[in-house]
Amino acid sequence: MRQARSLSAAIVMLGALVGSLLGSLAAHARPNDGGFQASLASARDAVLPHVVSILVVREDFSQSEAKLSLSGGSGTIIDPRGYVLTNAHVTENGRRFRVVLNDGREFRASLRGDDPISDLAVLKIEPASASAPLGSFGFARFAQRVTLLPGDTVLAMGAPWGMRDSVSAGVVNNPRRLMVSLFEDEADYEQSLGKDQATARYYAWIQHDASINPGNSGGPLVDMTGQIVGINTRGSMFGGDMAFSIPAPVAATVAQAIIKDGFVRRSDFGFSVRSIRGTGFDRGALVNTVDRDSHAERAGLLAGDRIVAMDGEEVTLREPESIPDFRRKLSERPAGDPLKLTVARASKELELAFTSVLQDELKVPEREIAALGLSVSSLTEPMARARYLKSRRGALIAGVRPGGPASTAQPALLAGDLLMRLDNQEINSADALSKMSLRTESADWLSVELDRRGERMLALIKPAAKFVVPEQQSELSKAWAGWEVQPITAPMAKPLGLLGAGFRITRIYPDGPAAKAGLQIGDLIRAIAGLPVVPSGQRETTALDLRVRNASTEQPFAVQAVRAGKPRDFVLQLVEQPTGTDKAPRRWIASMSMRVRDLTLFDRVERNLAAGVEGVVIDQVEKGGYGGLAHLRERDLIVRVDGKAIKRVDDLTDWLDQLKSKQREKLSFMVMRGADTRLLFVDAPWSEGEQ
Amino acid sequence: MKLKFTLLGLFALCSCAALADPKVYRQLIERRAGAIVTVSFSMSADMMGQQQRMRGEVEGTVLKGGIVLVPSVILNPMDLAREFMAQSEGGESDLPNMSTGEIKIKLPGMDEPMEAEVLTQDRDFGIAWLKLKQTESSIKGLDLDESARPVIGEAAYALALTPELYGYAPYVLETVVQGEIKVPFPSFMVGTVGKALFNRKGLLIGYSVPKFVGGSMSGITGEAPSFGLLIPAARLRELTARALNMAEKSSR
Repeated sequence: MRQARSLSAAIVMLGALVGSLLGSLAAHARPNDGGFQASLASARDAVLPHVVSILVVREDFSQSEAKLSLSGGSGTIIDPRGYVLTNAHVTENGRRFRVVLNDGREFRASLRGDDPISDLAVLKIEPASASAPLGSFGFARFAQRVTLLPGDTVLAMGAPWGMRDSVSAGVVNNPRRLMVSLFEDEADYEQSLGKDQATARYYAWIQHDASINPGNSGGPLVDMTGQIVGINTRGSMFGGDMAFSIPAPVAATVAQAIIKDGFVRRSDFGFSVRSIRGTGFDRGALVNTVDRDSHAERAGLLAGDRIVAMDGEEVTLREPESIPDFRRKLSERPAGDPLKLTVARASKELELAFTSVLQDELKVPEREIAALGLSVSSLTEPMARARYLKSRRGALIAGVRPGGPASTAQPALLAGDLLMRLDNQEINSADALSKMSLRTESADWLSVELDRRGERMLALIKPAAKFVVPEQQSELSKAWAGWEVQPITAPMAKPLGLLGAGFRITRIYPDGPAAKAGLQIGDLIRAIAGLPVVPSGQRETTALDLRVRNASTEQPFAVQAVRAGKPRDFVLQLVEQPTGTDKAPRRWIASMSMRVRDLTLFDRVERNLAAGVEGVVIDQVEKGGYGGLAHLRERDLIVRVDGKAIKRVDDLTDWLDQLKSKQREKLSFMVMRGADTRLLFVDAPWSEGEQ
Repeated sequence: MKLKFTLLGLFALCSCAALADPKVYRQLIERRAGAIVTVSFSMSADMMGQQQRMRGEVEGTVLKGGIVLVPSVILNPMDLAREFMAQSEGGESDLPNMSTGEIKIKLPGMDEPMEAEVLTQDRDFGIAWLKLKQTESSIKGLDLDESARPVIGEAAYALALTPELYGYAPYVLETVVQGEIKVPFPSFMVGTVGKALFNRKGLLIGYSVPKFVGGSMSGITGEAPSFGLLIPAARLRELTARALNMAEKSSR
């Protein structure tokens, strides 16, 4: 069903995409204008061969636990050495990357660097030397200046919904768009886009209506001269035809910085501004915020001051759209650069001079501290400021694993707590915490000092060597009759031509007690040991189940049933219930990021498996793990791996160990999915350096 | 968040005392209160992707050898709801996934709670068996051989402990063996749950567990939709022997 739905959804999407593309082309192309068609084809041919689809194996944290998943995006080769520009939100939390070129070649890639502030990132293709020697990649070019006007035709290229080499056409709606609502304060612009991933701080968007969808992120926006004018980054949050791109000059500058250094250096002068729109002033820019402890604050700059000149040159920001450019120019100055502001305060003009500092990252990656059952991140300057903290010391708890040491600490540690000391050692950063050797074997509690919303609290925690998922509690063994039944209530019995209420046998397990006693499908069980069994509802079998489950396996079990309208007595010798699917031996296979379990009698009967069919059932598979990449799915029955028959969980783990020692590069899985068999392939985890 | 396990708490209010006998109460407290402990546990629930955590407390009954009887519903907090929904034709849909951990045994006067492990459980009978990880001389475990068969109409007594704020003081709950049922397994109906029940002589007559009576809208009419099911002492003895046997086998 899920498969069918996905397929239908994909077809609908495909239809929508094709429709949108045709619609856009019909709307904007001029079929009789041969020159226009030629320009369009030329623009397409200049860039499309260099557009790539990007597959990302992501590692996201959920309650401190890392989970692998798959996501995708688009990008453009912008350098013959194989550098690909894309969005930072495409590569975010990426653990492995693959790019598929326009000609179908597929390569591994590594992250050269990212810049979440501008939402840009650069991947480096890792070519196989024979098929793509270093420096041999064709690449697309950025427009040096963007002179787009509303109504100009543009092409969006990329892989919407993972469908590569897609092109859509549209027009520029506004080449200098900020998402400022008429109903909100201008200082709130862009805030709704994501708290820790602010965008459009240093540029205004190019708004256009060429169709883009999830998967287009990072792909190029191309003008009719065949140059990249923008990087497609956002679609409309509310549907419709609005798409938003990062202007090419900004993207080019950021990309070059990342290629050179792996990151982007920016200066921070410690203040922000707003335009004079609606203020009654006719010149200057208003200081909106002055960061605590910044050079600007120490120089005496106050919120409300009106900047009228900067380094002797007049400053006037009339509209919010002027702000990103102003901020970008300040940020591009070297760290430590002096700045002289002329500000108007009350009726005076003051001269204030101060220098900038190197801007800190917005946020840093989360890391798991398994022994404490939590994940942490270090504090950046913006994070510390947002939390009213005076220093960046400590490790901020980002997630807590339920049932783990942090959640069972006294009192429990919470996401948002700032760890200051552990076991009497100061914690300066998440890195420092991850390097601490914790006494996991000891039964002793360790003291924790933490900051919780400004309060200094103490707690006790007991580190654990590894997190053990609580197993299902064992239960006393129960008796089993080897049947499945359907309740027949009194109102149902007469219309069905049955003698009365009871439990109708719907399945007999081969060689089970019921089969041996001669019971058959269709027999209606009316009483056990002379006492009636009456269902309380059309789905309720408890009345019979409890009688069977709690009967003795050492005494005969008398069943009074009706067959073809005639009463029949049967005597069963109940046995202990066979292992159910919930109790079957199971194992987490870390290298494949999946959990498998043994096949049970109940699986065999439910799947109607022929005698002799053996295998292990997939219980859980992470989409971004190697099992997921092989397209293995939950409920698949793995019958063969690389030619070897798999009968038990241990067979699979042993065989994978052997394949690893043989350094097999590809693995093949033969699985049964429903009534079909599938042959699936995946690169072996160890061939990509995974253990 | 900490709460007395509310479902069990509701049942505890159902005891229907006749004329209390001071001597019986006094002797029960003297002879049997040493076997009653407070069992605290944490419950984690996945509520629409958010983990909610709370602590609960029930009484546990200590048997000889450091075995502690508790209602199995503390290990499977959704069991009663599942039973109710199944009997109400509602199926098991949309019940939050809840798990239990951090089981601790608290004794009056002891600062540090004692640790216990789960041996096994029988969810049909609603009983779980824990084992204390250390011995404690102040606990006077019950001998299952000192028991009697329940008799319909006789007074039955359970011992409970006040919450920590009131110092874990023992007190007596009085109920009556209200009736006998034969299916789905032989047992008796009583007005209290989650506790060992004694007769006037202080002999163990069984262990009471909560059960829902399906198919009624009694919640609307104000009737209690459930009753306590008294597992007779003889059956309790047999189940306990099997539980210990199973635990011993699995530890080999």
